[in-house]
Amino acid sequence: MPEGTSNSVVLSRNIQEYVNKGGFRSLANETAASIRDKVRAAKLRGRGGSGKYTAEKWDTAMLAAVQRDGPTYLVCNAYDADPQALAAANLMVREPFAVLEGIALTARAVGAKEVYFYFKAANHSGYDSMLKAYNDAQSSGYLNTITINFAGADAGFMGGEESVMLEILRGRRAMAVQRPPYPAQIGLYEYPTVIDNIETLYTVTRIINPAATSDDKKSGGNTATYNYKLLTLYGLDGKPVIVEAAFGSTIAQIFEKSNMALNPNTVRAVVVGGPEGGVLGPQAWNTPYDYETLAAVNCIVGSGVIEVIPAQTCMVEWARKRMEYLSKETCGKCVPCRVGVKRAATVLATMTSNVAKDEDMATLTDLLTYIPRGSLCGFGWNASRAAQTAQTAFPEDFSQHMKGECPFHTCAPQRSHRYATKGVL
Amino acid sequence: MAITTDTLKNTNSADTIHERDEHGQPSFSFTIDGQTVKAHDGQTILSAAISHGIIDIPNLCNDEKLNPTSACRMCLVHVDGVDQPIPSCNTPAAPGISVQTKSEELTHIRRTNLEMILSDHNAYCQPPCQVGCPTHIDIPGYLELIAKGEDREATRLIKEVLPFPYMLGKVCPAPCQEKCRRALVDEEIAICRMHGYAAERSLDDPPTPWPQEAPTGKKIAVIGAGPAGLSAAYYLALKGHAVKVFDMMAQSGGMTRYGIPEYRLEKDILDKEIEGVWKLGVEVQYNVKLGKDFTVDDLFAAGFNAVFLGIGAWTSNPITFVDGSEASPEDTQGLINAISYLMDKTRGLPVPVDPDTEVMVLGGGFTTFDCTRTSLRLGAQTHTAYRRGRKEMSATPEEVEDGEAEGTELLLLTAPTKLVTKNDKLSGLELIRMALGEPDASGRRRPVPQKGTEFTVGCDTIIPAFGQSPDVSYFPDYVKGVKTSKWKTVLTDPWNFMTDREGVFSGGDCQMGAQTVIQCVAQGKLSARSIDAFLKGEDMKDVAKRIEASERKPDLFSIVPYKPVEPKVKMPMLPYDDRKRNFKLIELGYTADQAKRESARCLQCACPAAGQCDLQMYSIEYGLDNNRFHDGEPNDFHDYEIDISHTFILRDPNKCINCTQCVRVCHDVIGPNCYGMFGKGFDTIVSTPFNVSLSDTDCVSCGACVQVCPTGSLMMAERELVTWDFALDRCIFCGDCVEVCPHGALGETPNFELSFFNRVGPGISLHMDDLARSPDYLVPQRVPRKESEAPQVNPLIRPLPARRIRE
Repeated sequence: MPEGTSNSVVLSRNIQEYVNKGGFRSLANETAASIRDKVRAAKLRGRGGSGKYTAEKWDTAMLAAVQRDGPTYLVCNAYDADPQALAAANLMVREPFAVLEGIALTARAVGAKEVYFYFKAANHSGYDSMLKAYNDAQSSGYLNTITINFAGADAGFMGGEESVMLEILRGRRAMAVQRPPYPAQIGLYEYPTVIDNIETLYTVTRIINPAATSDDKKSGGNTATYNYKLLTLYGLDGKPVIVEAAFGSTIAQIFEKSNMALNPNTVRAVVVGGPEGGVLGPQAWNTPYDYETLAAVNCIVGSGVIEVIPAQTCMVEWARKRMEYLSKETCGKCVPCRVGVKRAATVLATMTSNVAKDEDMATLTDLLTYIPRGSLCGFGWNASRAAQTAQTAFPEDFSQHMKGECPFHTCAPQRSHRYATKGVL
Repeated sequence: MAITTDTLKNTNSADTIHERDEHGQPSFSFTIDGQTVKAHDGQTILSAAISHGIIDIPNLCNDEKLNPTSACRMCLVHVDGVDQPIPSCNTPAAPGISVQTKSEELTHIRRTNLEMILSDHNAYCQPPCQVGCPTHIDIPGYLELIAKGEDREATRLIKEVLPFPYMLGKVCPAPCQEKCRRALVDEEIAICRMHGYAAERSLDDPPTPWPQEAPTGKKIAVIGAGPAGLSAAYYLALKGHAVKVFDMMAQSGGMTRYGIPEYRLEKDILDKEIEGVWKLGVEVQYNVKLGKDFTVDDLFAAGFNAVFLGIGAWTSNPITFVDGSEASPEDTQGLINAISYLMDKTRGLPVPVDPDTEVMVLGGGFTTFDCTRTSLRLGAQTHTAYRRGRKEMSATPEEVEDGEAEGTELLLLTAPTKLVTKNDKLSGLELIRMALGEPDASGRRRPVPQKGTEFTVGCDTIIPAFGQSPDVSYFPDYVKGVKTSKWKTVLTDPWNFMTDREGVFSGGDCQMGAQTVIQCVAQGKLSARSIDAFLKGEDMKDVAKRIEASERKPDLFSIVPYKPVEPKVKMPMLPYDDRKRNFKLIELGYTADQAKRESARCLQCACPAAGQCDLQMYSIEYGLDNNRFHDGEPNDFHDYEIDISHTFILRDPNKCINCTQCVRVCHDVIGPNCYGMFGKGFDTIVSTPFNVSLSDTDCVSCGACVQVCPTGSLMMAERELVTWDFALDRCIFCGDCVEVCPHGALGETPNFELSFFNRVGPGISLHMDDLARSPDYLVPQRVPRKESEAPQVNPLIRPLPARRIRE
């Protein structure tokens, strides 16, 4: 896919076309060891958001497989937990064969026979496309060593959490499970399970068999993370644009290339990383888009969504909506996430309702540090980020609300009074 | 935020040199808080810690027989090399790791977890009112009964600890109401007036708390027919002892009759209530005074086995001027003794106050305002002066407000400096302004005189009401062997109330110094318990210990109550205009409807699981004395319906903390799978499949869920004990029933042996009595993890009865 736009894409939906381009050729040549070596050499990092080195995860699973003496499973995560993210759905429709090749290569590399393709149940077009591609590839004699099980799920934002994913695949309630042990050690049916994002698997094909994927550019990317990341951009018009951006290019550049250049007069902030991502003010728009550089400004790659917040938006209200959303999406298992997020959201609501006092600021800060430290899974570890970054980037909005006025006069009161601290006796 | 896996990797047995534990099993060592601990493969950090006696890692969702879930986040520990705190219940121990179970951060996380749980714990623990009441009446219990219209049963319940609910309902300062949890929602409940109401409705046929016991043949002399003496007499008579009361006055009631004006307490109704004591066969002799007419030795000589001194505090303290000098009513013209003044008024004798006098009352207590308001009713112009501020007054705010509204001039922060006389007649009192300084030993701020601020208030009568002291001047001659203190009070053991002389007990104002009526009743009640034990020949040290333990204050912690606001039903009062020049009762009393409405406001903030609740234990341990999330709005909390449809198991989701122990035990251990999680996000809750009633599930009533529940969310229902017969001719004494019964409802008596031994004679018993009598029968208990040294939670003073089935 060419960088920068989503329109002029070369589709590879016909198996003959894909094979002619050189597709599936790697399956004949590569051994498990050579795939692992190449991926390790390419320093591929997981595209699911956490950015672990893919080869390391594979090694962990293989070590665990030796100890467990049983099957190893591969789960392809095409779930797009963030309702705004469209990257996985896009790949399923546009590059089904390259994804299948990546699955086959990874399954061979880690010694998995059984693969679970986990996607959003509502994504019918993606499913049709993948299923047709899988049937075509099998009837053409490829992918005979693996079985792919398609599993559609609808478990909200939490469905993208890897332990939740495994619970759903086992037919259990969508609730997170404490890690470690990681799924790569003890996963599906208690056996080592490699969970890779669909984009990671697509990138594996790119690394091993560059010819099969649509025109790949080797320049411009950061070599440490193997080049590109599919992003869903939301501009001021609120319409999604799917682009492929090189790691290392700044956020401002990413928008510029998509003809949505960021103007501080019309754009207040940029949210990087989806519902649990952080918000960046204009001074941070030149942050390079990469795992470490984003972490330095308390943002994450996350779901690969970058969203623009228009000028004249109250960031306290924005943070409140984020926390409110998260308090509805949490699986409800652990206390800090189930109750803590809710309480943080309501403390923010007292602020937007202009009834907060100075102690509420301290309570909020306390809760926002407590939630990630106490929580069970990645959801809770990242749940504070939206409110935290809003607090650091836009302190003036908070102080204005504490004085009893919305900076843009847009907030409607949510609550009539604040929480009170009381003792029993 | 990532956890590095290296330190936690399941170590392959090949690369570790295993040690062997005492059973010869392969094991390895690691450290917890610097202490070396051995664990075997697959053992979690928590389980290894517990087996080494480290029991201070809190946990609410872990149980040995269940798979860990790590939902409560209480057992978080630090492991060296891991950034995030990790749950010890779920993390396998590994060789060489170093674990820290205590740190400031962990305490903070654990405490905040509890705060979070309690902020959505729409239920209660122990009722603070019951703790606050000196007699510990079962307040939620009687309020529930009044709300149901069962006034007589409510009175009976109250009389278990308080023989005079009508009297106290009028005059008690209601320390219970200060602690009422309803005040966290809106306004406290009129707890005190409620028992007055209930008692008034059954005055004609007063219930006794329990049937009077058979006569014991022991005789007890009670000196003083005041609240303390009569309470002691009442409970001693119920125990079957012969009691005789001696009083120096012509009628009973002591200070409540002679010290409390008619407009607060009607004496003819008081008589009716005290009648309940005489009905138990208690004898009484009036107009005899200890120290004048008889001695304690006389009583013992007359065959009494024990003596209770409840002589009260009848001497008014003199005025103390700022310079330290004193003036007492006996030798100063124009000064009146507060107690004699009130006493004369109630007896109908002439008093030196009339519409022409100008009265100055000094002090800030109940007696002060009784004198003030009596003077006002007599038509006198009245001033009331107090050294400290309004907040520091020991009289209730209502009393002060009423006094002001009825017309007294309140002079706060003023102290008397000297009497002003004209023509040898009292013409006024010079006062000085005071300012509050540092708090003194009693915690109240000490008033300091402001120089040069003296001023004079004209008055011809001064009533100093600075409290009273007992009169013990005759003790050396008439009450031999009993010591008194420098405050002129009788010295006794603080818990068994026995004086240095064996068989002589004392309680009430004469033992404490002048205090409230309810404290006197409490002491009378406890003294009766102690005297009863004394007459049975028990060791008085043990008695003291027992009473001390029963009076120990349980710890309380902050739960956020969520109840809709409901305004307090105010006591109908006599209008101020109608109070002039008469002594009509000012509290008109509740109607039945009002009383029911007011009683129904009670949050019933008592939980039958108190004392066995892990959440309570940890909340006390982590000092949850306040919560930041009070006063939430309706969508901040959950208000679930209680499921009482099941015959044996009560389910209250409001107390559920989502630990999922019941879910796991029902699915993994028992099998029927009756529980699961329900809802999403903040609304997640443990419930039954499709949220049906528990009785519609596959429940086998085994009670395992109740056993594992760390709170009172799942409880066994109370039921009548039933004895079942079984076919003895068909029983083969296999003992299987005994083995499998999870509740120990069946047991082995000494005659019964398991089937793999030889059996001699029949012996399975279904009779609870047989089991109880059997010396080596033990009800199977939840397996203790270790000799527990966890903080002890004091049980509820009198646990509420569990809700009955299908009530």
